[in-house]
Amino acid sequence: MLPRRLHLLSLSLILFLTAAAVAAWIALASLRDDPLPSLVWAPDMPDEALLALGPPVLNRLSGSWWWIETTPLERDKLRALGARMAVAMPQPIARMAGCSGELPVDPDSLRRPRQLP
Amino acid sequence: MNKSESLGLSRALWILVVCGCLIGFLAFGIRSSFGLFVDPVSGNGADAFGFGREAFAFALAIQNLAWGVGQPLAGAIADRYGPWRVIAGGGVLFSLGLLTMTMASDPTSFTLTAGILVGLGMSGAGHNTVLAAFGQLLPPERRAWALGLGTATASLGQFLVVPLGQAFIEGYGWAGAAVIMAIAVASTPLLALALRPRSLKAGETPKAVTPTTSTAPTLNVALGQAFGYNSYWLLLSGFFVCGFQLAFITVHLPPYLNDQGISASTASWAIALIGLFNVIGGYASGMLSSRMPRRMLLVYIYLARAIVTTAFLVLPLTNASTLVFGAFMGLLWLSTVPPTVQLVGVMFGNRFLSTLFGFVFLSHQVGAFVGVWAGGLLFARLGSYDLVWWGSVGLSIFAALVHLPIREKLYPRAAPTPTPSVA
Repeated sequence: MLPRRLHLLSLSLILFLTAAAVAAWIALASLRDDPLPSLVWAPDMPDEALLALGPPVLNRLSGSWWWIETTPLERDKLRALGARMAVAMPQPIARMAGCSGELPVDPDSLRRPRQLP
Repeated sequence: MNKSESLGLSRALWILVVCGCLIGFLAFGIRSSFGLFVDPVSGNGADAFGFGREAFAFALAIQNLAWGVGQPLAGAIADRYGPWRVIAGGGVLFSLGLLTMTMASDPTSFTLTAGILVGLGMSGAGHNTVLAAFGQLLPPERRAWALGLGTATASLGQFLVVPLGQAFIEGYGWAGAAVIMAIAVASTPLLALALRPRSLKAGETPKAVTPTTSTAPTLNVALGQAFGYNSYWLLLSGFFVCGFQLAFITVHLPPYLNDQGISASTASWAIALIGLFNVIGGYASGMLSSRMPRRMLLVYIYLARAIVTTAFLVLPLTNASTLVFGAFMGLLWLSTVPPTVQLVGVMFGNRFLSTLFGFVFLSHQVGAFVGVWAGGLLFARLGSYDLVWWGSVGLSIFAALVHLPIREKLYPRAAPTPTPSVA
C-alpha cells in the first residue's frame, strides 16, 4: 500500500503543472491588444462609475467582482480609477469561471458605443 | 531517514521522477499541438507556406511513422547507453525539428523537419522512453506509481499545452509559436541529466539502475525470445487495438458528431474531457497495476471500452451523452500504458525493456495509422462511420480476449542472470 503522502505529492505535481500552464496562458492573454473578458475586482468603485467607463460589462459576480470585456489600455484605466484587480482571461477559462457573456448586468452598457481609449 | 526516504524514494529518485514527468509533459503536450498548425502553416495567411493541407497531413503522417519506427531504435540505444542520453539526444532533435520547420520552404523540407526530425525526437524524448526509464531505474515497489504519474503528467501536457499552443499562435504567429516550443523542448537535455545513473547515490545503484532480472544476455537474444513468445505477440495485438481506437476517435469523432448535428463546441469539450479524465485514468491505472494482475487490468480496460462505445452508439446521441462518452473514454485512454510497460518488464526483465516496449509501441502506431486511414476510407465509401465504430467495439472485445492467456511471469527458457549496469 502506498503512503497517502505519496499520492498527495503526486497531486501536488499535477496541480503545480496545471497552475503553471494556466498562469502562462493568462499572462499571454494579457499581452494581446484585442478585447478579452477580464476579471475585475473593484470594491472601492461605485457601480455607476464602473459602468460609465464604456467597456461592455458581461457579468456581475458576487460583490465587487465583474466580468468586463477590456483591452490592455482599458485595464490600465480601470486600475488607475481604483480597481484593485483587472486581469484578462482566455475565453475558455473565462467561461469556465462563470463568464457567460449572455446576462449583462446592465443592458445599456452593451448598447453603448464602444469607447476605445 | 528523511521524509522522502520514508516514502521509499531518495531525493535523487524524486528529482528523477519529477524531471521525467516534466519531459513527458512537454514532449507529449507539444506534439499534441501540431494540429493547431494546420491552417496557419498550410493556408493562405501572410506567414503561411500555402502548400495545402495535404502536404501538411503527409508531414504529420511521416512524423507518426518516424515516431513509431524510431521508438524501438531509441529503446535499443537507451538499453545500451542509458535512457538519459537518448532523451537528451531526442530533445535536441525535437527542438531542431521545431526550429527548422519555420525555415522550410516547400513540402519536402517541411516533411524532413516537422515530420522526420520531430518524429525521431519524440522517439527519444517522448513519454515512452521516460516510462521505460522509470521501469528500469526505480525500485520495484515504486515503479507502478511512477508509471501512473508519468502517464498522468503526459496526459496533462496534452490537456494543457494545446490551448497554450493556440495562445502562442494567436500572439506570435505560427513560426513564433514553434520557436517558443523549440526553446521549451531545448530544456529536455538538462532535465535528462536527472536520469543519469551518476545522479543517484551509490547505495541506490544496484537496486535501481541495474536491471533486476533478464533472461537474455544480448539484445539479439532478447528480441529472439520476445518474438518467439506467444504472450509478447498477444500484447502487441492488444496495443495495436489501443492505437487504432485512440487515433480513430481523435481524428474522426469531431466530424462524426458534426454529421449527427452535435455542435463543434460540444465536440471540442468532449475531446477536452478525454484529456482531463485521461490524467485520472493514467494515474489510477498505474496504481491498480501494482495491486492486480496486469493482464486482467488490460482485459477490464478493453471490455470497458467496448461497453462505453456500445452505449454511445446505442443510446440517443445528445450533448450530455457526448460529454459522458468523452469522460469515460478519457478514463480508459492511456490507462493501457502502465500495465503494458509492466507486463513487458515482468516477461523479459528490465534490461531490454526500452527496446521491447518500443516494438509494442510500434504496433500501437501501426494501429493508429490504420484507425485514421480506415475511418477516412470507409467514410468515403459508405458515407458513414458506423462500420468503423462497430469494428472498434469488436476490436475491443478481441483485445480483451487476447490478454486473457498472457503468461504474466518471467520468460521461461532461461534462469535470471545478472546483467551489467546500463551506465
